[in-house]
Amino acid sequence: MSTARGLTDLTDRAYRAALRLYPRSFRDRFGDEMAEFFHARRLIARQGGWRARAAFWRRLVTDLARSVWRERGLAHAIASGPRLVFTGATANVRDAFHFVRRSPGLSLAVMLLMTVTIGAATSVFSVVNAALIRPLPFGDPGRIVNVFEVRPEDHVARNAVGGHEFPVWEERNRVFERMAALVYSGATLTGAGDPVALQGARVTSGFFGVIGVQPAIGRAFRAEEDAPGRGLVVILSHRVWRERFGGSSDILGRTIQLNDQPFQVVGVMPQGFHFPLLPSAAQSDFWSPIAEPIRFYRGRHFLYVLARLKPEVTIEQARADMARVAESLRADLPELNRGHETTVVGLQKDLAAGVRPSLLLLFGAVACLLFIGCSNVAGLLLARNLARSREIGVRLALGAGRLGIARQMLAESVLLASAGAGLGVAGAVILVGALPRIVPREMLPLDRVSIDASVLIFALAATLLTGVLFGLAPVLQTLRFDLATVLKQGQRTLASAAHPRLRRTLVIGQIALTLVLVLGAGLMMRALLALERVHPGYRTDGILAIDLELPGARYPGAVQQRAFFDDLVTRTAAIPGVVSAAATNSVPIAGGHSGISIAIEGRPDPPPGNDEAARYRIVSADYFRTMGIPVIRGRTFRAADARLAVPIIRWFAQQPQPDGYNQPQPPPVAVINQAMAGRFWADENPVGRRIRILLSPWIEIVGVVGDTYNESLQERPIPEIYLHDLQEPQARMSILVRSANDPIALAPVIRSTISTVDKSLAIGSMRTMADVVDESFGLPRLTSWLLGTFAAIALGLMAAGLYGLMAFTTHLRLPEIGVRLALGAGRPQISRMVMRQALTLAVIGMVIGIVLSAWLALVVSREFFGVEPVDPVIWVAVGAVLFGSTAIASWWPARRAARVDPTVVLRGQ
Amino acid sequence: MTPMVMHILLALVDRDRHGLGIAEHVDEFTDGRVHLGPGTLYGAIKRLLETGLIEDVDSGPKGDSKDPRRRYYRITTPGRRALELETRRLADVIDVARVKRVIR
Repeated sequence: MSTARGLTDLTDRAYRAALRLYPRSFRDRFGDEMAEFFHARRLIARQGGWRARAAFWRRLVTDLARSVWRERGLAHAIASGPRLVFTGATANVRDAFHFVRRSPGLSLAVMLLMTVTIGAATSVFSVVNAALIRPLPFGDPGRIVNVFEVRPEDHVARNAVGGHEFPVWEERNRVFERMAALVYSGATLTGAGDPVALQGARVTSGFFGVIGVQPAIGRAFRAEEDAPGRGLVVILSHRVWRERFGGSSDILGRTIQLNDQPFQVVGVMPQGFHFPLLPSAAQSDFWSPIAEPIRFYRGRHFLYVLARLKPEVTIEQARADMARVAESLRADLPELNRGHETTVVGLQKDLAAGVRPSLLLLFGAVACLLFIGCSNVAGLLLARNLARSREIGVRLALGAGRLGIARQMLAESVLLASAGAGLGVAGAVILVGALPRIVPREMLPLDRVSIDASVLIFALAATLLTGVLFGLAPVLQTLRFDLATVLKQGQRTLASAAHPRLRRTLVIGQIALTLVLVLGAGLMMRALLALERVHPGYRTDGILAIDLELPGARYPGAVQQRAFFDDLVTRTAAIPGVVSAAATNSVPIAGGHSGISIAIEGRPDPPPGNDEAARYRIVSADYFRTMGIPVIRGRTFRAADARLAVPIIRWFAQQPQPDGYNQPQPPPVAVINQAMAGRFWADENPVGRRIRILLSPWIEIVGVVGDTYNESLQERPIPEIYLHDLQEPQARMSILVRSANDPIALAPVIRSTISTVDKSLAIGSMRTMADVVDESFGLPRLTSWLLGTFAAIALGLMAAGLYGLMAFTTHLRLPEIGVRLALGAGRPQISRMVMRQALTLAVIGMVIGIVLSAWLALVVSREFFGVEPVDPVIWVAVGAVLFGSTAIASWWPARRAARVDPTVVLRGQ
Repeated sequence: MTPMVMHILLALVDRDRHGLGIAEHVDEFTDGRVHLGPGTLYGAIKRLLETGLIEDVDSGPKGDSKDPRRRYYRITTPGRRALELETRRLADVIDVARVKRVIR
């Protein structure tokens, strides 16, 4: 029979299993019929296409949830025996509402605590979720990895991949389905409205396969488009397609002008697609093939390599396999690859690497805050419970079940927690909305931060957990309630039993965690101060940086590029108000960096693969003066250094010599930084020595300048070589303009100066150096600011908790205090007694806190720049703050105890 | 009486039906606006059985294929009475609504 066969179907079996959710009696009576009903309906839905099927399942889930709830509720009303928490849920909630109305002060306090703690936790979690947890919006993102070169000997953890390496990796690996290389790139789009500078990437054809996203319109790149000269095709972002081409449907096959070269549009990516995702590259507007003979770019490390793992292959296996490939490369090319290893990192992990420690730290902090807030609520509820002990006693005496009372209390605390959490989530929504105005954009994937389902689930879980946790304390107390004693003696007996012990434990926990939080905040502030104290080695005030990129068609060679920038810099320097102007291929902090191998004249060639390496930057003559970098020795560049034959560096042996290289002309010159001088000429004068960069002629060192923090303020300066832009021209340079006043005021004049030199040139970006440096403080500043806020809240809550406890226990001890006073104890003695009690708690809490903090400090100092784990100033300061606040919190109760009038108290007994 | 319960009773007025038959009938007569899932339907059937408005019978009307697992439901006399009363009550409501031009 077809039905019978159908019923063995997996889906039917699953529904049968789901039927177990119904009470047994219901299932026994109707189970078979329901299964058959389900089966018949499912077959009908299956004929109706996916819409019908989706509707069927949606309705089924609703039906299941609703009817299970209903049947269970009824079944339990009838059945006796052990009751579930659900029983009489509505009545409990009604009572809980009643309670909330009756004690508005307490309810308000609890809700406020929950709002603050849940709000903070939810906001931080939404960021953690976006950066670390939520899968990237790519196809099967867990399998996308980055592959880097590693040079353990030079302490370079993630080097860009060499042109000679990538093709070999691609051929020899056994773990990747596909690999792709990417180079960040900019281009000027002309012929579609005003000229506009686009950001994008040049990729190898495997790119779209690796990220698992295909163009929404058109096609991805073909393998043959990787061949040099065949790469004049482009895929546009959805945004550029819409804004620049009106979303026109005949975009495919059209030819557009990028850098004055004709590119044929072969595709448009889906809306919202971004790659690269992070950092700073907020937009990605186009992708085009690299289409260069990268295999011959030996020793030029410029590729960012992505790969997609084969199914079932783990990152560890990929690492092992790439280690094998690296080994074989070392054997093949000992002169290039000695000591070069590889590493494979998950894409998401790699993208979040910079923010991960900060986010985890903040998340830990809100977890502490959550606990502190909740234990305060628990303390409040315990105290409230006490006030109700008569009522509870009477109810018990009248035959109310302990479980029933406990359940009602839980309902109250969950209700309060939920109300508070609702407000907290609302607050988090507002905060997350405001994030882009608070957080530096390139630090976090802000467009991905949102209150989505998993954030809500987190908030819900946190609420229920805390609601139950802090609600549980009073419940336990109720269960231990000794009816006879309570009814006989009133509240004090109860209080002196379980209650203060529980509250004391909570307060100790609060003190410990507050210490951890305050210490964490202190360490991060220290780190921020250390960072702000770093002198970058150049001036940051009054300098404007403008990025420009010359289109290849109008500026095909080094000579034309040099002429443009030379002219522009001269004109800019002549603008009234401009102190000096210069050009560089890489703005400090904001720019990229490239390492290159060098040889030193008169020194034996290092063994193969042990090439000396240095970073290099290309600058114009006035760069050092404009940036205020001191000249230590020799001279810097001058106009007379201009060479006939440019550029001076050749990348590979097949590359022809530049025109006029054999004519008489000024020698190639370089300026080096102090780190470079110290590294290679520790006891000598480097001026007059000569070096060679890749296949360049000998380059004479003419000067030594001060060290600068060019990559970030957290990394020490490393050896650097400056080359003269009149000798090594670039198509992509930034103009640096130093003005006596606000540099922004010069922006319009500079704009018009640029367009007088080339009116169809797009201006990439314009920002002040002060902003560039300031942005690099963004994350540390935000982290310490948030931690400081959390610590302050925690301190307040802790003090309130301690104060509450001390006021309460003092109140309980009033008779005893009265007796002591009557027997002649001095008032200071009484104060001391109370204070001693409080400070004992403080000391226990602080000892626990110090143990926790020691571990935290170690972790933090490893992950953050400028943090010393044993920082006496911070430790002492934190100890003082904690001790001080506990002292203040217990001082009032102590004073009140000392002012007690013994006659009044004793009469009241 | 909820609209759903009324629909179930109405489905049983002209003949006995099994659960699936009831759901299909209701679907058909309401153009799918009232949708009965298995849990909701059998929950309602359970309550109707408990209150005695319907009863179950072992075999359906002649012509229906026999399946031992199929139970048929039949409306009882109290069931008919209750349905009639409820329908009249609704009709009264509709009359008032017409007079007041809430509907035409």
